[in-house]
Amino acid sequence: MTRVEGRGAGLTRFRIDTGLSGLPDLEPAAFDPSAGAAGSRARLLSVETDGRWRRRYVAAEPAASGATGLAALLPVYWPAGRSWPDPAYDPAGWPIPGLSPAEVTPDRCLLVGGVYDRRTALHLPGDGTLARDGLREVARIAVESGRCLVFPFVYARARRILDAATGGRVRWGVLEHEACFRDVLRTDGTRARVRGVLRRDRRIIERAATTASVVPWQDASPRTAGLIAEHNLRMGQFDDPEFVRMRYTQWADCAGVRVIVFDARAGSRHGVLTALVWRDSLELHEIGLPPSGDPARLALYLDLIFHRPHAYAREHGLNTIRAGTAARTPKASRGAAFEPLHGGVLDPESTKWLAHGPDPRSTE
Amino acid sequence: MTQSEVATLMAEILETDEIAADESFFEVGGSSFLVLTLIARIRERTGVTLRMIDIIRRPTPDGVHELVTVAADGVS
Repeated sequence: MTRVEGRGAGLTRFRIDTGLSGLPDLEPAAFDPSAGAAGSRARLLSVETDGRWRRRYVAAEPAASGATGLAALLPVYWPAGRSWPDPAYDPAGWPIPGLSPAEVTPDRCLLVGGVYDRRTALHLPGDGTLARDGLREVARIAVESGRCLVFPFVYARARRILDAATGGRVRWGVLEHEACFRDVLRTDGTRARVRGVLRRDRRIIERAATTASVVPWQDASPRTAGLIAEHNLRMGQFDDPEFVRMRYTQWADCAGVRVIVFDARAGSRHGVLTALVWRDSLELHEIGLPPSGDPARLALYLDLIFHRPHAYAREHGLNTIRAGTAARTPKASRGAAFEPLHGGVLDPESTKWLAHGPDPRSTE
Repeated sequence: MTQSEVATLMAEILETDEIAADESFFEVGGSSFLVLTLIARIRERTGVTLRMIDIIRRPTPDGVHELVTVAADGVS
């Protein structure tokens, strides 16, 4: 479906489709790199094959003759059934003040941006008018099916644009903090305190005499999925080795993404860490460690969460390491920077208002 | 395992009357966790182990029947 809308100086053409194949001329630049591989075209295609979710894409482009370039790309999703395919995307569990669970049942929500990876890629323009017009198209889709708009796991830039485009009507909560190590290839500039922590780590790792290899997901030890699932279960997250295999098989199918496993041993202890290589970054995903409080386990943990990935990144010229959202304190003490990921809900009345109402920048 | 046997099995797991051949397991109340039950029951009956990723891509009785057929051919 194509719709042309104009306001002020420019005309914008909106195209709405159920698959990226219906929007064949989108350039790679149409896909927001801020979420890493999670925002890539290949990953969106992977989500398209998941029968647990339904989806649409709203693409906005300048309609004037001769004008080119994508102004916005907004993927939207809703559950195919009556339950949430992933509890992390159930807004009822988010720390949003005053939000009633009845407002955000699966049949009443339209999720904007993404439903995988707990990170959202939103190609939104800084231009407030265009962003608002794109969101208005999305709000119309929501209103047609009696839903409200939900914004899962968005970065600060997207939150600012969404706030401006909706007149501050989105209610937000901070869901997680993503850890990131930047300038990994620089060898100077590490703070003295961090250097001290890393020296202590190395002594622990040396005493345990850990060994490690890095292998493609397809060649990983058969124990890998089980170690990760058991680790997640101990952390209170429901998981199963079959879910783990599914997650990484999906990633391995994504063009441009390489899935690797750090496989580390210390005596009889065995630990694993999954990671993705995408462009110039390494993205750490999930760890699997045996349960115990012995020094060998600690050595494996320190080696896997920091030292092996950093060595690998340096060897392969990867300048950024996205280190996930768990274990904030140990990552902070080793020099990680953090960015909050926000979850937001635009209530049904405000969604209708956005779809049909006046300029959201007005306060009326 | 016929398509109708797959549909009956899905309906049993979901405690519902029936599922059409082209109806999605997820649309009639299935969850990711129940897919694990479906995989286990199919394995008990046929000896074939399906992958979760294949079922979420083809979540209808029609689709699962084809997956079982292809996997069984590969086994035999």
